[in-house]
Formats: sequence, structure tokens, C-alpha cells
Amino acid sequence: MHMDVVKTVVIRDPWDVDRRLSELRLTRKGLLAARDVALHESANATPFHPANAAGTFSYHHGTWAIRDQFVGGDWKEDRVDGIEAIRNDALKVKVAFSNVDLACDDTHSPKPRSRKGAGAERASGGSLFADLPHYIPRQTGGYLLYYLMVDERGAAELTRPVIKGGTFVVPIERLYLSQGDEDDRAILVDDDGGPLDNFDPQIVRK
Amino acid sequence: MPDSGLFNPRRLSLARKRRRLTAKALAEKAGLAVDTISRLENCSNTPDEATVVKLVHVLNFPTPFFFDPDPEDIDTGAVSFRSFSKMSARERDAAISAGSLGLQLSAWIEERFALPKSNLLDLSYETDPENAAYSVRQFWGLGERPVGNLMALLETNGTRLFSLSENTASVNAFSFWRDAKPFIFLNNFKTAESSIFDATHELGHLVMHKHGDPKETRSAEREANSFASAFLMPAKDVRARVPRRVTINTVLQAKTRWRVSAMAMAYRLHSLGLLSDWQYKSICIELGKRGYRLSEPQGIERETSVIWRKVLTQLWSEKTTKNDIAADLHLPLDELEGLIWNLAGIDQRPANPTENGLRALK
Repeated sequence: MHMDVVKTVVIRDPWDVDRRLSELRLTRKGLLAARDVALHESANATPFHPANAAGTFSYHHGTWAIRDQFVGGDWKEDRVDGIEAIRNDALKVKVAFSNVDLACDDTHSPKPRSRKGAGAERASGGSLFADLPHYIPRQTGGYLLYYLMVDERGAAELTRPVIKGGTFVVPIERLYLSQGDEDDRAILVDDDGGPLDNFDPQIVRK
Repeated sequence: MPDSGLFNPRRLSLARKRRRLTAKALAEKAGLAVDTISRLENCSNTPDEATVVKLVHVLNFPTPFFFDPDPEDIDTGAVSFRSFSKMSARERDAAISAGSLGLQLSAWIEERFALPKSNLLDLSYETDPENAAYSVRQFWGLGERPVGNLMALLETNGTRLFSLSENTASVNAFSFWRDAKPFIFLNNFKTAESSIFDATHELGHLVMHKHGDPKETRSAEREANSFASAFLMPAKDVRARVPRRVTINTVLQAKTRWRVSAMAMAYRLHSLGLLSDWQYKSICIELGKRGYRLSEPQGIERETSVIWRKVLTQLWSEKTTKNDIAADLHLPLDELEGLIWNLAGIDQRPANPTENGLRALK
């Protein structure tokens, strides 16, 4: 497969997304629940945690949540070749979890938000991380490998990427699940509804 | 020794209970026979002067205290305790006795000051705490807004607040009605958020369980907790302001708006369906890790009583000090301070007490 021959299919319309998800025997609700768990766990990272804690928490629990949501029936837990995913043998599809830099943006191909940036990859010669799950598409054994890609804002897409050189180089199919911010309003805007504290009990000297 | 009045056995019991002593322990400390104490408390004996001196010395209450009329009894059945079952009899007796002294102090204050009249609803017919909390909010014109100063709100509506200086976690607070006035006694050894929640819990008992006997029923405790939760974190306001996706940081931000503990906030979000069972559990674990189960990191400032501040300031301007009040009531200063401790606020003194020729408070 070569980058310039790939034609990306982007499915944005919720109705189309749901229809495609149903073909894949997945649900928007289940995938977004997994997204919620991942974001929720990443928020447990504090400044005292290692710098990559937010991403690690998100990845660990996001992976758990995908399995928690879907394993049973057609879907099985799968970790062949170190890819932590779920597998549907009838459809020949796998789904794994990935944190990405930016999801659901037409002008951007999501990149895995890994601590292994270009510099680190060069310094390590690239091969150090070659066995990490994201980067071995050819080992999926004829399965289509999708990722539930979640960015820090909570935007989420289910996407089948081409993986090369330790990163997602180009998406083949993208299903936009959520822009993330629509249900992430700023909390507690202080307006007229602030606390009432003008109580002043009166006493009178007899 | 006062020449009027007889030795009052019930006052001996009261002082002994305040000092958390059994009759046996008191006898040992005073060098008296155990029989002597029980006979005195059962009115079958009157003490001689030497015995009174010994008792006064050990109990550290002023002599006239023991010759005053009967103390105001508090019917333990009508008192609502939180964690009642966890309390030892000694803790309960000590707290109830503090209540009795509080009534004495309250009567003293009300002889001198007119305080706000009781303005609480009687919602004993109401079975849903959420509705009860809503009714009280509407009655007080609070709508859906958070309460920025709960103590002042309670006092404005006629509640008499006292503190319980019981250094034990098992006595949170208790409340009761006396002469159509609502009384709340609050423990001070807790976080500011807990005190606010406890006071609201007691408000729940005062309005929902006015005629009942709520002391030991679990459902009454649950109702009072639900009342407090709903009263402090009104459903519509919470729903409108909390993002649909809640993380621990949301909880930590949100708790400052509604002035509750992080645990109480998470509980409310869960009960309103804004947190799934799984998220709630996970947040509780994480909060526990960060120390929110035992204390309240980045907590709010402790609320104080406006009435106590005003009363003490007024009395001060008349050169009446806490020592004078204690002497007038025949109470040891520590007992008086215990009843208003922390409630009166940190800075209740005039700017330069010495210039006015006033004594500094100890």
C-alpha cells in the first residue's frame, strides 16, 4: 500500500456513521463510553505522576473499556502480536485504542499522541519501539485494524489508518463519532447565579 | 458555698458527664467511696462541705453550679444524632450534657437580646427529602442558587447554633426543638465542608422529623443526608452547570461552587445520574488516594456564626467578657468556650482591647 494511492473515506453524518458502525457490529454509545472512561482516567494524572501518565492511563483504561463494552458474542479479546484489541472473526475486524493529537478534523490526519516523538524515534533508531502495537499493521493477519482514536478534547473517531515509521501516516476510513466539545461546556460559568451570601441575622439588645 | 439553695444532685451528674467520668472514676479521683457518688446522685444523701470541695476540685466546675436549680433536660429520644450507633454511652452523655449547658447559655443570651424568630417549615408529612429540600429553598427564597453562608442563613431563620467541642469523630452534630426554637449543636473537629453538611443534615431532621423519634432509625439518617445533599446542591443548578462528561477535576471544581466536600459532590453527581456507577467508584478511589476521604485538601474557610459575633461584640462594648458570662452562669470558662468555640469567628475582639481598658480573652 502506498500513501498516494490511498483515497480516504470520511463518514461524518451521524446517520451514515451509525449505519457503518452497525455493519461493523459496533455502537456509537459503546465507543463513546470507552472514550469517556479513557478521558476520565487520564484526568487522574497529577503533576506528581510521570509525565506520560495521562496518556498511559487513558490507553490502559480505554483498551479495557473497549473490551468491557464489546467482548461477548461476536467480539473477542485479542492481543495477537502485541496489539491489544478486540477481534471479530466473522467480519475480520479488530479494534484497538489510541490517543491521538487531533481527531475529527478534515484537514488533519490524526497522529498517535505518543511520547515517542520524531526526536525520540531518531535517537532510538526507531527500532526500539517497533514492537509496539500501533505500528505493525501487517501482522494483523488479514484483519482490518481500526482504532478508536481519542484526542485530549474528547473528540473521537473510529479510523482505519495506514501505519508506517511508528505513526499513522494516512487514514483509509474515518468515522467521526464525537467532536468532544459539544458536551464539554465550560463548567460553572459565574454569572448572576453565584452563591447567595447576604444573610444578616439581626439581633436587638433588650 | 451559696447560702441559698440545696446541693443539686442532677447538677453533679451533669458535671460528671461533661467531664466524661463514670461514678467510679469520679469517686477515685475525688478520694470518695463509689457509694457516696451514687447516693449523692440518687438524692439519698446531701454532701458535707469537705465532699463538695473535693467534687468541685476534681470536676473543675464553680461551686455555685452545684447549687443552682435543675438543669434543662434534653430528652434523648427527641435528639437526632448522626452516627448514633457508633457513639459510646459516655460520648453521648457528654454531648447531651453540653446541650443542657447550651440551653442555659441560650436562656442567658435571650434575656439580653432579641434573636431572629424561627422560620422553619414543618415538613413531617413529606416523605421525599428532595422535595423537602426544594420546599425549604423556595420558602426561604433561595431558588436554585448555592448558599454562600449556611450558618448565617440558618441563624437568619431562627436556628440557634452552638458548637460541640467533642474531640471525637463519632459525634458530628445533633439538633432538637425546645420552646418552638430549633437548636443545632455542631462538632468543630471537622472540615468546614463537613460542618456545613452536618448543619444541613440537622436542618433536615428539624423540618422532616419534628414530631418523630429519629434518633436511631437508619432511614431517618438517610433522609437527612439526602435532604442535605439536595439542599446544598440543588438538582437543576447542578445539572445546568456540570458538563456531561465528569472527571475528578470537574468534581474538584464543582465542590467549591456548592461548598461541599469532594465526596459529597461526587455522591450528588452520581445520584443525579451525571456519574455512572463505574465512574463514581473510580472517582471515590481516586479521591481517597488524594486524601479526600479523611480531610478536604484546598478546603473552604470555616463558616462562623454571625449572631455569636454580634452578641459577643455588643457585650464586649459593654465591658462584659466571656469570663463574666461564665461567672454569671456558674460555668467553667472552658465549658462556655466549648459552646461557642469556632462559631464566634477568629476575630471577635475590638481592634485595641488594651486601650479601652478591656481584658484580653484567654
